[in-house]
Amino acid sequence: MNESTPRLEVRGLQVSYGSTPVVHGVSFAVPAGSVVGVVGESGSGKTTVARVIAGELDPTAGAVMLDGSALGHRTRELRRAIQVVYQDPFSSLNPRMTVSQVLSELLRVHKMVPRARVRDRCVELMELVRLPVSVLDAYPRQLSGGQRQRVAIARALVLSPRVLVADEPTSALDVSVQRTVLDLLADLQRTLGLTVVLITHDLAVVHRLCDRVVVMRAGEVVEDAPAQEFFAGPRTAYARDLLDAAPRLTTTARTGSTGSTARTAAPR
Amino acid sequence: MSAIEVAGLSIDGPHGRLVHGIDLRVEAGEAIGVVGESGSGKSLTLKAIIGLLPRGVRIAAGTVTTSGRLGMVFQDPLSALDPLTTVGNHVIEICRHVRGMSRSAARARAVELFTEVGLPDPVARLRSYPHQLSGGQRQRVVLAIALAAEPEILLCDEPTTALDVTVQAQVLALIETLRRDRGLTVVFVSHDLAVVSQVCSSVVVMEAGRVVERGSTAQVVTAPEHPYTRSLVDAVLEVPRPGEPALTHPGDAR
Repeated sequence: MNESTPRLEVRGLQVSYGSTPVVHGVSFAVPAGSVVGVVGESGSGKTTVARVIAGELDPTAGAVMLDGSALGHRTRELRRAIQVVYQDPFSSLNPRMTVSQVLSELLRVHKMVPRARVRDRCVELMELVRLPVSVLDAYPRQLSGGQRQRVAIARALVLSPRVLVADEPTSALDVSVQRTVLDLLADLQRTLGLTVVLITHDLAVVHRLCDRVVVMRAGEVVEDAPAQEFFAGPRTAYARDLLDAAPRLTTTARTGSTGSTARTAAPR
Repeated sequence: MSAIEVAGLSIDGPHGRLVHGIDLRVEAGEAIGVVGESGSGKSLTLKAIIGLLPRGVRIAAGTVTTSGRLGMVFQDPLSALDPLTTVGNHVIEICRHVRGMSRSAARARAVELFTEVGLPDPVARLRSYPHQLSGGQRQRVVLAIALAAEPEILLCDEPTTALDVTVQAQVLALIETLRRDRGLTVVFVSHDLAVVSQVCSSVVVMEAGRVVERGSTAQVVTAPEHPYTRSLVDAVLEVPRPGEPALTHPGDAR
């Protein structure tokens, strides 16, 4: 494998739902150990792209390449290699299984650790996502939204994936909880060297986590740039509109002008 | 006289007290934000003001006084609209039954309201059903319905949470325009301090059924006093504006 081969690459992806084409030739690359944010509004096709990467949906044309080889039939090994964290942790966790049951089952089925080590590994995973060990014996309904999303992250990490796809991982959470989950994701990404495709509509999330930004609109990529360059000044008018519309703390309620941001207005 | 005056309001649910004796005063023409997390009691307070508390939940103490007709905008426009009724009829019915207008006058008024909230092609829109509209268009319809009763006070319960950011910005701008042009009093409930800071001149912060801080938006945002408020301010992630000096690399921030 060439060193410059991206960990994940999406090439000329086209997807249709029935006879309606929704993704028209999308391409981007995700280098190993980096976080690429795919940003767009409802209907932009960003979640469809995520579903194709995750193997939940077949494209009508184009390919997903993992470490240089095109993904066709997903073997158990390939399914393990790409893991997903979904937006709504309540509907993505089995309500009848405790956290410990969810994690142990995966550890055993995929033979990730010797049987005798399963419980220890579950405890390690709780520490990794900063949850008390007592959560292992809880059912999803007994957990808060933030705790559930941490469990969902732990579940995705159980299998040491080569790529983590996070589809709006914090959109269903309160702002203050969003922050802690994002901080956790950022730390895990750094310490474990994770490769992440982050699907979101929220540019604040992209700014916090991503090395690169891919902006999608109506099934196409309209901008693909390093995060620093993007936030310094997007090239397309659409991306500028998106950046402009992002909610920011304002000290003066909208009075026709844009108002100054809190941090620049704070006493120095 | 204030537009809204809430004094010592306590709300009880089936399993105990949910809101603990809060006071709130909103002057006519003012936009006030109520911020807090899920379970802080912010939505219940709003529902108590308009008298729409859910079954099993009641006002246990205190008083709510309002002067002026109330309108309310809900978070999820799809569940606030009847799927089997055209969006035009939603507005026309209110004009006829609340305002006592004739059918043709009500229809003309509906077109005016759709125009005012910025729905494209308002005459054709009258015949649309909710599912035929985008999320942003539906929220504009919900605003038009709230305005049809000619309210003096507009209560907004997370009105933009379900919307895309560009649409959110448009709806926020619209609410601000309506406040200015009609002199509406606005109470805006949200978990997102950034959104509230864009429409409201003052903010009330609620935690676990109590008001923990209140003040002008500028003051609360730049110099929060209560630790909980500080955590809400810190939770807002920064989005740089192009053209502003480059920020530190994401991840190093604070």
